Amino acid sequence: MLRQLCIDVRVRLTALFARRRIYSRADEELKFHLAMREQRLIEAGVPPGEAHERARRAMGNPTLLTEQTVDSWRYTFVDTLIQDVRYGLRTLRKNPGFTATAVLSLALGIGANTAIFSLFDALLFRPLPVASPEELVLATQRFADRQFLMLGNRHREALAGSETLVGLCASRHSQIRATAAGDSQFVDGMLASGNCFSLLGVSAIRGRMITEADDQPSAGQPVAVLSYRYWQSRFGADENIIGQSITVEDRPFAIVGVAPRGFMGLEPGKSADIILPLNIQGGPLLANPNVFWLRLLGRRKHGVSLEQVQADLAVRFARVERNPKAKGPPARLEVVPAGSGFGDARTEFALPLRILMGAVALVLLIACMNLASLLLARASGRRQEINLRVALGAGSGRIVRQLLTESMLLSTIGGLVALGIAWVASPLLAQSMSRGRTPIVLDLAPEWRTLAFTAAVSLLTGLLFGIVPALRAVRQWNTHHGSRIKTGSRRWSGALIISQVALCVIVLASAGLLLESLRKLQQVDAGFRKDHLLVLSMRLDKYQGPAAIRLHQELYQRFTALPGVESVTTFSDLPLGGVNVTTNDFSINTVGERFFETMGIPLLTGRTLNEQDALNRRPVAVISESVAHHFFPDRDPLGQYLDVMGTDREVIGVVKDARYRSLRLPAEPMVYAPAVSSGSYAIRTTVDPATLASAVRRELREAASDIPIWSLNTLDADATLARERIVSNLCSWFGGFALLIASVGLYGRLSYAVTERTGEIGVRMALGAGQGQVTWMVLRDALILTICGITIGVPLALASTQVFRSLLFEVRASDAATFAVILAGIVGVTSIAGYIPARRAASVDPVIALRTE
Amino acid sequence: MGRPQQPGSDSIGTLDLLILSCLAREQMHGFGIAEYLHSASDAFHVEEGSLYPALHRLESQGWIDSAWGVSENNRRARFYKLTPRGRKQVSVEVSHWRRMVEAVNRVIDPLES
Repeated sequence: MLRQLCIDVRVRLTALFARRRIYSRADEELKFHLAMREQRLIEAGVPPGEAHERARRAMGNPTLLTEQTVDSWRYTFVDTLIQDVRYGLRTLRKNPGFTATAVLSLALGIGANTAIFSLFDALLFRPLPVASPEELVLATQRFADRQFLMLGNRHREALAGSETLVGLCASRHSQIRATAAGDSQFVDGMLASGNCFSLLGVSAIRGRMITEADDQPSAGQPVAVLSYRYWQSRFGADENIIGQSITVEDRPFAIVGVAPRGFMGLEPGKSADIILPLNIQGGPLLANPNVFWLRLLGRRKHGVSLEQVQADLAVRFARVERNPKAKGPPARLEVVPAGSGFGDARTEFALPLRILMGAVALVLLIACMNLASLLLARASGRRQEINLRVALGAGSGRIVRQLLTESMLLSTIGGLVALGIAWVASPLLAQSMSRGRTPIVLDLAPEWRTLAFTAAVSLLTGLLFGIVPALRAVRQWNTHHGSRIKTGSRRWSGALIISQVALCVIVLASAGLLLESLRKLQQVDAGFRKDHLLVLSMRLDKYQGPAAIRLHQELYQRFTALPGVESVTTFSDLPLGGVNVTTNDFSINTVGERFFETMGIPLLTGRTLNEQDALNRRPVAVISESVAHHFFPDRDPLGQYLDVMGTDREVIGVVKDARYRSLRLPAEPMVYAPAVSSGSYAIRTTVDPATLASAVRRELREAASDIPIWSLNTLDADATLARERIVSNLCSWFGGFALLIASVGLYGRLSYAVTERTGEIGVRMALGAGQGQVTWMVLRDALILTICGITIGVPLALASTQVFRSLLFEVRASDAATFAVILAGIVGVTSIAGYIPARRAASVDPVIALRTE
Repeated sequence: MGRPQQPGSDSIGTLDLLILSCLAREQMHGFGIAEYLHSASDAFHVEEGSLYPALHRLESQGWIDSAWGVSENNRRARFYKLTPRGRKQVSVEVSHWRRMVEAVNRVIDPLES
């Protein structure tokens, strides 16, 4: 049966799409036939030349033969297909209500799948638009259980010589300030080493990409390459772009090329609108071997395996990493495939997107089952029509084919509408993902992968919900006795309801667990006061030395003097804002006076940093509790010295720990060093911080009108929960949708059953059954189906929630309370769905019911 | 005989029956079928113009399946074999044919005696 189905599907596809293959096949078969004939003639003693001639003559015109042979396919398939589609469209038009319901639920189901898939694909799957992406590998380092994608310049030098690689290039994405026509903007930029594009095999569509010569510290005129997107939007696709100048960070760069259309850098989720040579833009950082700020990407040599690369690079890495002073486990090098890119957005959203993908797939499955039960019910209504067609000579295969064509038509129309839905939904989804710490730029232009996915899902859906009703319709015709059919189809629709409930349990349990951990996360103590903070970030690069100090002092006074401001400080890292500079043992935050007061991080002992520390460049530091425990477990840390990136700093104070990276991760070991200003200000207010934003902007403009503002926002401590919020919210929506569909299905089945059993109910009531008994009889059906579904669904849910354990926070994947709430909810909703037809059954008037019987 | 059947019709012609019966014995390529039929009886002289369209039609109806293989003289040839549905069809058709022949014989026998 299954084998035959596979053959049928293959044959059908061949007939429709592989005409060329059939041609060449027929051709080859006939050639073989000719050769065999010739051979037989030779064996019979005919001289070779004549044998060839005779064989050819006997066979006739080969082209015509091929044509006739290939025609056998056309006749069977295209004709019947067109016939089926025409008939199917007519049937669908005749039942607009059914068609609309089916198309709508399919469009929503498939649309959600397409939308999530397009994000999933853009971020995780789609290969980078470079030559042989499968050969690319990324060098990462691992400390215990944490993986870091950034390495330092010393690693670059050590790994570059590897025999296993064609080459190794360094790059990083970074926000850069570009000025065109007097207007400063922050733009997604990419710094790339000179060998980057020759290694990637990416060539410019206008001009050229960055080369080795551009990337020498001694290179003359600094050069830049624009992304296609930026060239289009900012320069109006100016054909004379090459040779024009763009000002980046106040330096003029000559534009030498435009990158190809699909190239958005190497990190999905980020864009690379201006590409600059690494040496030109990153000079000072390159000189420091201890800063991890580069992505090191290599290309495997032909025939070299990932393991071989790993082995060779690990040795090279260990050579430069050996540091006798370092505490804790040493860093290990880990080489990972990088063919579809790398980066934080991928790491952050991989699991959430997988969960969402699973949830939407389940929702679509539930919708499929609903349609299957609709079609089952409809098939009994179409019995007459089918009987007529059988009587007129249609084979059972033909009828199944016809019914399947109808369901495929429905799913195809649903799929087309779904594309529209996804087209609107995926950018919205990407936008809500962007609200997190890592803004996300994705190329979501519809392309063949998404289209192919949608087409495949639509066809599969049509097959899935169409096959059982179609086969049953034929069996109906085979067994002419009505009663047997009814029990059969009732059994089927019961099974469908049970599966729907089971799938609902999975989706809803996942949503419940995710919501619960979101709630727990929101209660975590981050170690600082999250409310009433206004954060200003700008770039001070025009102001260096004394000018910067004067500017800071003026800004500080102006901001402090604003009504409603409690205190003002500067910082390089903000709690929950991530860390910029990190060493093996701790991260470093350079902060101004009153940082701890402003942020509400309590001082435990000693004193805090002040402006004099910064102005006099005193080698002092305030350390967090965990740094104190780590380095000075048995001593008073005050007065001790700590090596902070090459400088011995005296510890003058200890403050409580705060969470910098995320609410989930333990507090960051942090060393605070004094600084005048890094261009970032935190302002603690007594009033709503948003109301102060315009005043702050005005003060800044009055003090210095030429400074670009990077951002001016109230502190969004919740941004770090963006991904948790998206995944739990979407999951809840999908769960609700799933439950709705399932209860509509249950309602439909019970209503149908009540209508069918009106006579029976009438008899029961005539014999003395009360309304309550009748209600219970119908409601019991609903409850039995629900409980069966739950019994199957709970173990499935327990198994599948294990998958995203890492996304849960202080909630067990089998949290009993969450499951209890979910199950109670499901029973509640299905009881309502069952109660309505139950009431109707109870209001049956036995006299009328028996008379119609 | 080479004419395409009505789509959806489940009855088959004599050539189709012969082909299916050949394939019920073992998998064969087109030339093999023609040769086998001819060796079975001189009456069967199957033209390529009928044989290959029939093979392709039977395949497109899902009764037979084909794949490339190597012929006895080491050439690439397309081999045909019955699908599960084709196998069922053969037994139905064979018994149908037997009944038919019997019936015809019963009608024409008196003429000969």
